[in-house]
Amino acid sequence: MTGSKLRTIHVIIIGSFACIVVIVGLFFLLIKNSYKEIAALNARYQTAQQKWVQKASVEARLAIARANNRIVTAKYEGYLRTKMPPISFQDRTQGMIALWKEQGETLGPLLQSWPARTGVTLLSSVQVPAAPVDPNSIDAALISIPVGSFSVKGGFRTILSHLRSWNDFNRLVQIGPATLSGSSPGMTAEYAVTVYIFPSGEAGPPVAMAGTGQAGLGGMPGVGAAGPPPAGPP
Amino acid sequence: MLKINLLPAYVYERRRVRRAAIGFSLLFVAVVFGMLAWWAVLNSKQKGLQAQVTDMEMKAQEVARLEQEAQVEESRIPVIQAKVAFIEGLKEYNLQIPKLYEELAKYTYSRILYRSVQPSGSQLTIEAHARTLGDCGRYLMNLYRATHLFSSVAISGVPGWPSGGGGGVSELPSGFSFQVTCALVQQIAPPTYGGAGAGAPGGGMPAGGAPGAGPPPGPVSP
Repeated sequence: MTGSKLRTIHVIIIGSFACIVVIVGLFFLLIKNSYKEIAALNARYQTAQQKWVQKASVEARLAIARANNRIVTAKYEGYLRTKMPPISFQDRTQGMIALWKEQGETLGPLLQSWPARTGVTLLSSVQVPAAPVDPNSIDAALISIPVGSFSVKGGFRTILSHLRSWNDFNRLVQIGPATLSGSSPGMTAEYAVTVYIFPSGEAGPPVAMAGTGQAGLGGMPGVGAAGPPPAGPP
Repeated sequence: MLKINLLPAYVYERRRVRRAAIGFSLLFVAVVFGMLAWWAVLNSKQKGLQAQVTDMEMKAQEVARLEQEAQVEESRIPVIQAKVAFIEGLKEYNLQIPKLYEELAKYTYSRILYRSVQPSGSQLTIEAHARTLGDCGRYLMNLYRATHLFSSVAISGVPGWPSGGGGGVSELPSGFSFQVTCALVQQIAPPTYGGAGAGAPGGGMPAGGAPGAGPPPGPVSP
């Protein structure tokens, strides 16, 4: 009797097959995933490295932006100090009251005294319009106050010097094209004046006002809801 | 001498099978071990790479933070720059009319009396008085030379004969009134906030005058 029917060739085939199965199986189970993860990590590394390489240029860009910002801000703050009243609308109500004071008390006398200080005679009267009364409707970016028409009298040179002097006035003023009439030194110039104010800082939230119909507002104890009173017993 | 093997073939076959089985078993173990070793090497490489990536990503985040900071700084500039540009544009605009009048004075013949000068955005209207037609003509010739100020100059109201005023040219000693309309080379417009100034910076008007232009500014009494 020959015993087992297993031949060498069978062993070779089975052994080879088992090895191939193990190689393929482990490759797909372990090795391939590892390669995938390594490739992903490499891609992340490349991306991050590309960002990192830009560090010097980004730092330079930041330094330039900061420098430019400092220059522009310093210039603007200089104008705020010399040309703008201290009005801020972070609290809109307080800003509005400050604007009332500016338009109702400060600006008029300043404007009225300026022509005489620059050597010409003011022939017209200065009228500053009243400030807005709704804090939520004020444009907090730029306030424009049209002051109307100025009529001044003087010599030709004095009038030109007076027109130029508005740039030294302690508010930001736009003067319209001046019409000249008459003869020097009794010449008359007429021009429109508009005052501009840049409030400082950012505008705050709108002011909640009584009567705006906001739901959920608290009331005084004992005060019932609005509406007709409940019908009592007859 | 002749050797004769009388053992049956299956005896050798069994040995060969056993050897082959042992060999393949060893090969199998070696393959498994090799694959696991390969995986371990890759794993170790992956861990090293992971640490590098983490480090590099932290650096990249730092760069991204700097970039964001730069963007924030840059975004602040235009807002303030617009305000500064508006203020400076306004100051420049306020100087444009005085500059224009000064230049006009340089080109104004001294024997001409101005009654009024009225600028608008793109033109200048002058009401003037002259004693003679010659004075008026000389004045007009001066204005024609002011090409840096005016792109066109038009005159009206020059009298014929007999003039509407009753005196005609023969009464020129008392003079006549006329109107000159000049189109400005550089439009005078105020700047607008939030955009570029509409009124371009003056740029300065060249000095100099016209022959016969009198130094005294403005009108001269007839």
